[in-house]
Amino acid sequence: MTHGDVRSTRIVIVSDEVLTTLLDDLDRSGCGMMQLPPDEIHPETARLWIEQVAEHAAEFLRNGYAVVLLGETPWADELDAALVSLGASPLPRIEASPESVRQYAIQPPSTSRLTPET
Amino acid sequence: MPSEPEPRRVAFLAHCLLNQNAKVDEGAKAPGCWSPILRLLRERGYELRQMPCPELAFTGARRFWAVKEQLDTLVYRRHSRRLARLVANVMEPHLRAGDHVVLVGNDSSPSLGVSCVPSALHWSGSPTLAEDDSTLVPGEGIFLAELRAELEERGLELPPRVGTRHWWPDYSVDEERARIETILA
Repeated sequence: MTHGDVRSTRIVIVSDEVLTTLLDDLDRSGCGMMQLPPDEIHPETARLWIEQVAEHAAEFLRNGYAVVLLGETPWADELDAALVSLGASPLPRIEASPESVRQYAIQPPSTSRLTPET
Repeated sequence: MPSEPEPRRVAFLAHCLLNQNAKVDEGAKAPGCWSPILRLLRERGYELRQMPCPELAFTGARRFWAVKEQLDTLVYRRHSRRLARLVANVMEPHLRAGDHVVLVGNDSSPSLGVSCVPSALHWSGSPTLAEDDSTLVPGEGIFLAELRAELEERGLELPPRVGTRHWWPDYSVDEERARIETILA
């Protein structure tokens, strides 16, 4: 990135619940966030939501940004499938905790693994 | 007699407010999210709903700055409408339930501008612009226009909205907070 741009190039994909719980930690760590559909969303709309999250994630991955799935979500398999359909790899997953967020900010897990090193 | 449930407060956010990585190059003014706005909305009890970034999805993370005339193509409109349908699907139940819905876009964005968009009829060709000589003109961005059209087809109106300006040279957190507060419950 050029002058004046301070993006972290580190992104977490999070459920609505995790976003609400860990927003301050994610802010402090400098991670960008992509929100997954809240539970109340109609399943068909949720699938459209997942599709666009996958499109965004695939574009970030194509450009060398780190992207992980933070915490548990019922949409994990659907998100992985959407990424694969776009030619991208399934995302590494990390635990939804302040410690994991801090660690991710220091060193993202390898995208060649499904789980981070501990 | 049971009392009516309190209307929920729901804020639909430009994607980059939660993810500055989606900004066009030179536009990210924070590593991750733009917290002053998020803090205000949370203080006031708003649930957050992140909208897609139509430009990231269409022209990519390495896109150049663009003015509205460059992006205003039939295919970009179609792409924006696809994303607007998704946002309208999420927004519609809240509007019909009488929830307090607001939208926070990005002033000076060709896609999510709320009160102004960038314009330059002469921008095209070689990407060697020495400096930004576009002008800001009144109007709303392409994505917002498509969202408005999608909601109108459903008999609904765009909710109260305001555009952030945190990359503007004369940006002031206090000014922005005051402007956003005008649309909050």
